[in-house]
Amino acid sequence: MKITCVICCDPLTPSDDVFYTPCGHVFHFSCIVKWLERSKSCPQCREKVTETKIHRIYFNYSDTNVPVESSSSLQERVENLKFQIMLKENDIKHYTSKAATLEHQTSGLRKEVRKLESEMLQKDSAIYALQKQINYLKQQNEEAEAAKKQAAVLKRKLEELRSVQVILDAPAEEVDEIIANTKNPASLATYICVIKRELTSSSNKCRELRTTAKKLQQDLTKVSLERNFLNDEHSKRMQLQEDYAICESEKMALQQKCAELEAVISNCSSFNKSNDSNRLSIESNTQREDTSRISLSSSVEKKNSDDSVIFVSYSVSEPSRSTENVNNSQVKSIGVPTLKAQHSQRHKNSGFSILAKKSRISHPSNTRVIPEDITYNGFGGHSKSDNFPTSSSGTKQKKLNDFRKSKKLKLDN
Amino acid sequence: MAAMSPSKRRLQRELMSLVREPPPGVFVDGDEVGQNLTQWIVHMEGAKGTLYEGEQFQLQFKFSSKYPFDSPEVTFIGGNIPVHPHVYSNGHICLSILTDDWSPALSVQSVCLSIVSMLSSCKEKKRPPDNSFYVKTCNKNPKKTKWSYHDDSV
Repeated sequence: MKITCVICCDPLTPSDDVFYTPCGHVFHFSCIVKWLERSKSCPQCREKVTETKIHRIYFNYSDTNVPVESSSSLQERVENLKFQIMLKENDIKHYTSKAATLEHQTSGLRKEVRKLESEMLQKDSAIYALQKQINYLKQQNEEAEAAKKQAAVLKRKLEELRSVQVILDAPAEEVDEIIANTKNPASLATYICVIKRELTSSSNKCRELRTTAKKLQQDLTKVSLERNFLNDEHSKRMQLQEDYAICESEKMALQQKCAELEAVISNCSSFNKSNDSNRLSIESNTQREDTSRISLSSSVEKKNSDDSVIFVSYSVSEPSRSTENVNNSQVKSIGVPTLKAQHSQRHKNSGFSILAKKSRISHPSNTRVIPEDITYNGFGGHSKSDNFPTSSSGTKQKKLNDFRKSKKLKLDN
Repeated sequence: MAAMSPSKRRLQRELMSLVREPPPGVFVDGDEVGQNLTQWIVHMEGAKGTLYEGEQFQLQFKFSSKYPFDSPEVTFIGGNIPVHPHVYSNGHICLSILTDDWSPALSVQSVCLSIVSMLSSCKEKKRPPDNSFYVKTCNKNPKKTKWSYHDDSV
């Protein structure tokens, strides 16, 4: 039997002072007394109770009950301890969960730390790169400054050189002014040097120019001499031209004479030709002698036809002037006087030949029978042409026909 | 354990029984209370089929060293104080067993059951008629108030 006091909830043991109220509820003496100090009522049923009305109660515990009692107390203790264990277990649970959360947190923090470290590395590398860049830029800056200094030095030099240029180019007054303004002895010295050099070079030039002038004067004298000579030549030539004109007029006169003589000859053509021709040749000879400057060459070609055609070509040249080659068959260049001469000659010759022919045709009765292969040369002579045999019979036939025709013509005449 | 005072021992036993076999709708955090046995916080929920169904309340118990001969100081705390004709908006409860009708035979469990039954018997959710005046003038400790109990239906 397990009995407890409702006030303290402890079990009632044989050693305790157990009291009961008139309403029959059982309490520890200390508990009920404490309560009755506050309220004169039963804690369980609120019945009126006073200290005088409570009485001690005694239980007769059997011996076997003793161990039971002890066992009950032990049970209680076990339960108490169990409760404690439960509390502790709860604690453990609580702390394990806390630890888990903390671990989670630490892992997160570790991750963050790692991230930050990597970031730091990146930043470090970036810093390193930037430092390198800074160094490079510093170097660049130094180079630029050096270049600037050099530029300044060069500028100064350039100014000096410019003033030197001015000294060289400008008039004397300005140069004087510049020299007066410059106080730097070094620059003054350079100016002086430059001026001196310029002076020597200009004096050299002067000398050279003088020598060239002398040379040119000499050349001039030479050229004037030559000119004089050429003038003389020119006057000579003029004289010669005059002579030539005189000769020409003489020639004209002689030609007239010739024409007269020809007329005379035509009048007495019945007389022997040889005589005439002789005379003509004599005349021509005299003419040739007279006009010593005009050389006349003539060539006569004869053809195998019975109508003999006479080709006459002339080449007239002035030996004193012309250097051109004159062929017998071809005249390359002919001056005016030569043309005149040529014309006159041709006229004379053609006239002669025509006349000769005419005389022959106009007096057919007088003409003797002339063998066919004899040709006349126009100067009163005749020759026999060599007939070479030809391979083609057609040409022969043609020739024969031609021959017959000519014969007929002659007969008709 | 033997060194424990009778009041502490009783509180320990009460906590043990409450944690092990709590009445329906009542819950005590043993760890929280185990730290300080003189001040408990009991979680309570409105009983099914009443006006307070689904609501959560917190009850604070403060025990003096004279417990169980001295009654505990019981108030509602937290954000949700039940709207009830015997519960003031500052959490004070007008209940006779908490002052005049206290008996050492009562326990935390019996007090909790009394409060649950008081809430369950409510027919209209409203504050006490003198709520604003009381809240302005009352002491922090509800036990110092002279309560006049008139509603015997609870």
